[in-house]
Amino acid sequence: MKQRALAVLACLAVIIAGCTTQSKEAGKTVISYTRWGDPAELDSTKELIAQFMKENPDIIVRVDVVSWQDYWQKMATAVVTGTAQDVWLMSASYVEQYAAAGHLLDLMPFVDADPTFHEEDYFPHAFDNFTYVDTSGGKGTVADLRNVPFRQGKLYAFTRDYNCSLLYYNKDHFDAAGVPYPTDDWIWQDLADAARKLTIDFDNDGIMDQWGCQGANWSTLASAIGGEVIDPVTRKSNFTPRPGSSQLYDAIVFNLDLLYKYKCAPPPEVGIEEYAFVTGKVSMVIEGAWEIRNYNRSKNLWDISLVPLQYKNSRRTTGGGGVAHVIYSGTKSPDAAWRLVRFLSGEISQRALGRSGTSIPVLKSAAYSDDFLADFDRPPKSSYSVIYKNLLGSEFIPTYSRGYLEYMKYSRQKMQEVWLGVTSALDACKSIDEETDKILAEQYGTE
Amino acid sequence: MIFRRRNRGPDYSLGGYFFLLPNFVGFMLFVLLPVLASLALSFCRWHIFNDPVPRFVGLKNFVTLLHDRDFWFYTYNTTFLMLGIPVGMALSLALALLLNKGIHAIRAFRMIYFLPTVSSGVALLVLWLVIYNPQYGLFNYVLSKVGIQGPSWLSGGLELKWLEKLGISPMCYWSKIALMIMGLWNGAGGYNMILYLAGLQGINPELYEAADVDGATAWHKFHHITWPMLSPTTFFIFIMSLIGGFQGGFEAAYVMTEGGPAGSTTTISYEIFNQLYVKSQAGYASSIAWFLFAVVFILTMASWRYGGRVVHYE
Repeated sequence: MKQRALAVLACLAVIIAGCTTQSKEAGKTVISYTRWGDPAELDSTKELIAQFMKENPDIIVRVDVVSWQDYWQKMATAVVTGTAQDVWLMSASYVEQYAAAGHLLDLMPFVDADPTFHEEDYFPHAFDNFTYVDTSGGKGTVADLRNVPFRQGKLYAFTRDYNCSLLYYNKDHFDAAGVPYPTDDWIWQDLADAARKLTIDFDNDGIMDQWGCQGANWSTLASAIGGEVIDPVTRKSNFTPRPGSSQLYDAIVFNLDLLYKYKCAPPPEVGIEEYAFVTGKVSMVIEGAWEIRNYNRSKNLWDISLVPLQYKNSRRTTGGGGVAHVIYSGTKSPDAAWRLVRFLSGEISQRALGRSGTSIPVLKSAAYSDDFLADFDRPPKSSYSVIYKNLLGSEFIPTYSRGYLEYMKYSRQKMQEVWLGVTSALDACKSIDEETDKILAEQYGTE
Repeated sequence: MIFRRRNRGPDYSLGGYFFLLPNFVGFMLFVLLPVLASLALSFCRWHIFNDPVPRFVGLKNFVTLLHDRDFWFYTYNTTFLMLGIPVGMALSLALALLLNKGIHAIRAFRMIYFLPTVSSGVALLVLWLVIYNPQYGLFNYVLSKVGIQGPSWLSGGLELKWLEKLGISPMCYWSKIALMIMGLWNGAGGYNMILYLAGLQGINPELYEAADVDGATAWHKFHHITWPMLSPTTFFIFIMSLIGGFQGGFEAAYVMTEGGPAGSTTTISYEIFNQLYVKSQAGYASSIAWFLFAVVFILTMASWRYGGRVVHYE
């Protein structure tokens, strides 16, 4: 009997021993890296990491890719349990939240010590979303971070790519209707006028076969003309119009006009598909540059133009660099992690990013290289200047804060009621302000 | 036998415990421990980013919960979706009765009706997204064939002005109805049907023969033999559906509607998820989870206590 028990124990011991990982690859540093992405991005990431390990034979990188939806649940759990990866991809919308809780390493010492780093290699404002100072003076357990320009505070994330929104237009539709193409000095009214001419019921059955534009993407329109969702100083929501600050409200009302006054954009009950621009059911759409690769599935000729401004003299603004890499504050190998971060924003990675069309490289040399959008025949090369103009000529406005995705989700849901015509734009703005202020007060402990 | 057990019993039980050990350890570590931790958390405030450690706040979360209008709205959503349970059970029973007849290709039919249950849940939900598309969806296409112009099922609604006078939001969305219909389709042919089939096959055929001799009609036979003999099955399915109904609605909300429009498809389980992963409130999320447990527990107990009376055990 004792022998049998011993045998069972021995079996258990073997099983348990088999479970422990053998991570001690002789003398090498092992670091882990995670990002969100689709299966195609997993492949390209693996290629890049293989390249990195070839250049850095003393480092082994373990890669983990999950979908955007699951990513933040995973990271929230990981930092709380202290098991986060050494290096991870970060969205500008979350930097402050994670940095204030002390989960991110300050990268400024690495930047200062790195002779190969030159700020002017990157597009303007590429680092602005990631630089903060702590104004809490050590009071409380969570830092009270304020966004400041680059080099004036701690850098919590190293920029990787840029978001920029564009006006995509279907040239075939414009030609057929005899409407002149959009120009860089278009304003909202020009967009509405053209969209009305492009909204056509070809077979006269009372159902529109082609819509002028797919709604106006109010948040993009607003952020292009200096509309800030929250006031960065008072940390109060900004939806309800006030003198001198009505960009968000104006953009919402303009979108409503497109739906119900000009009737040139499909209202919700039409249930138009997400990629109606690809299927040729809408003639114009305002979307991020990352859609270039998806819109290349369209059978039509199309081109891009700058997002129209409200008035001729409106200033053009940008939300700055959007996606970056961070180093986890609990990392055991900060130097190896920093080398990986630099590599992932370096020439090779940035060219690969430019080729994939998933976003715009922050590194100028990659964005100007032949690799940029090399696999796509639309938009024409001559139109890339639209993108560069956007990145070089826009003024930075801070967009993000703690709880950003939470209050944006609320405003998106509230806006559905506006598009359905159930709630007035003004009432919706008031309740969004109320809810957002509540979330911000809760987040910053000022309730 | 008794002789042997007395002699060698300890050996066997010791070995048996060893075999139980992996499962038991797994259960303790990955089920019981988190469950107890969440019970402790439900008495704490813990914003997972802004509070470094959970802070004990006593019953505050539960008091907040009782005054949380949104939460009661989500509870209403959850119970509304459960209105489909009796209909779904009737459909399951009807299918089981049909499949219990000696018709051709009976196995093929059984398989077809069981198919939604073995299919990937998310794939089905995506399929239903297409079915409910207001322009090209199958659902509105069929409706249009009988002269009805279908609404936008997942985002549209009706504005009923008279509700405003009662102090209720006048907007009635189609989304809950849409999810209920979907639930019926997914659920009718699933495990409930199989349980009913098993129940039907367990009924002694002599009962029917005796009824035939007495000249009973089909309805009489169903009413006086089938239904009472199936009552334990019906009761079991009802209890399980009740539990499942209170915990349900997460997948549909996560994949199809984001809980919208205007929160109309947010159920209790989706709200727990939201509180944790969108609002980072681990403590409050745990409170809701334990509140849900209490509700399910009490309802199940009550069903056993009072529902047992209508169940006929052979």
